[in-house]
Amino acid sequence: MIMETTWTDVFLYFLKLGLQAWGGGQVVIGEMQRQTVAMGWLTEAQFLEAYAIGQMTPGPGTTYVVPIGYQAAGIAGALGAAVGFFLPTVSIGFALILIWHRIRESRWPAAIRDALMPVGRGLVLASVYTVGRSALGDFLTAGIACASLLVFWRTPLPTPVVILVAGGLGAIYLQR
Amino acid sequence: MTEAASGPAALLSRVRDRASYLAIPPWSPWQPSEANASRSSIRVGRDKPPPGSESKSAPAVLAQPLPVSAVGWRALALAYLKIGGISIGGRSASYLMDELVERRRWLKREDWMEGLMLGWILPGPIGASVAMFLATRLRGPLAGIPAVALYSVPGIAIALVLSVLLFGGHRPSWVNGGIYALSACAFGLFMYTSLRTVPDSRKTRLGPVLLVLAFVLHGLLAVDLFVVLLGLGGISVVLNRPAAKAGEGVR
Repeated sequence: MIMETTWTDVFLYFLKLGLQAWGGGQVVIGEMQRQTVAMGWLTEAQFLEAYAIGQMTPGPGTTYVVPIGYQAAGIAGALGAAVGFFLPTVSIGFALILIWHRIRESRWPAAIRDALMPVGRGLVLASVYTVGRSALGDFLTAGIACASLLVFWRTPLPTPVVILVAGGLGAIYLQR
Repeated sequence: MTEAASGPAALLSRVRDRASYLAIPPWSPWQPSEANASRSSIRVGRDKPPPGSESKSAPAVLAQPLPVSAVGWRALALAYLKIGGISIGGRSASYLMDELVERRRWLKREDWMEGLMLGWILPGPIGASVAMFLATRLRGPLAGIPAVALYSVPGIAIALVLSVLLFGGHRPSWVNGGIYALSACAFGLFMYTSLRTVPDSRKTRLGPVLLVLAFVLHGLLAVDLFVVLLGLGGISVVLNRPAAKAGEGVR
């Protein structure tokens, strides 16, 4: 007899993953793929499709948990996945942020914060490089990204306008 | 009981004392001490706040200095709703910097960088942690959870709709083309916001050297992020420790 997956199963699973995702949602994506496929919630191909839907949606990049939850247990599963995955952030993360706020202007925390800034910037640039290596796989993508960079840098155009124009042009000229 | 002690003026005075004691503890970042006020990252002076960002909610009767809340609740909510509604293509923390730092000038790049580093070590999505941190910088702890909701709920709702419409089915080719261009454009924004932070590294002793080392170690040599953050961060803390800074006369 096959047990049907309920929204509480999905909620508890993503709550556990959210608690493990110290350092960002991408940390657990490999684990998530392996386990959700093994549990029969979705196939490898559907997981990639869920990831693509996550890329299509605004907000945190980890909204791909919504289609995974949807595939597992319908709309209630989708909401359970989102709430479960975000709950550790808005509970533990929030509490730690408040503690940090409380001490951040003290002598040593302030010194540590300032000292870590250049390292953080180097890590951000490293992310640009590593993500760019995989994301900019062809000249067209690289061209759009560089053109967008120039527009953001040199023009006062609002970000939503730039994003929507890029998406609209892509929908018209880059059908694939 | 004297008339003075029981009159309206005394009552108001007691209410003020109680309110100022209970409502806003002295450590709150949104009511910084004098020393903290000089470090406050909310821009004032020549950087005129945009319309609607002025504080309208601070009660005028408190005896203590009023909270530093240069950004109104409505303006903050609209900003987060906007970011939550447009930040397509991943790297949503870049949109937070673009909107709150570069366009609205409510915060400094250092605030965003601090939030990002916290996001790297806190549980859950990095963007959500950054959103929560920046909101609490602007409006105190009450802003944290509503802000992360405004930032996340539009995306979750859209993901749900797309799941129902598209999941398991065939996506039209124009949708694929649109996603393709959106993702590339979002990466352009990610590059832009990342490059904007680079010049600030000169404020730290050996900052440019540490930046390059972090880039080489994590980006080119694929050394784990935590190892780089702890290793180079530790070196930077030693180089920039308070005693060293004071002796050098910096700041």
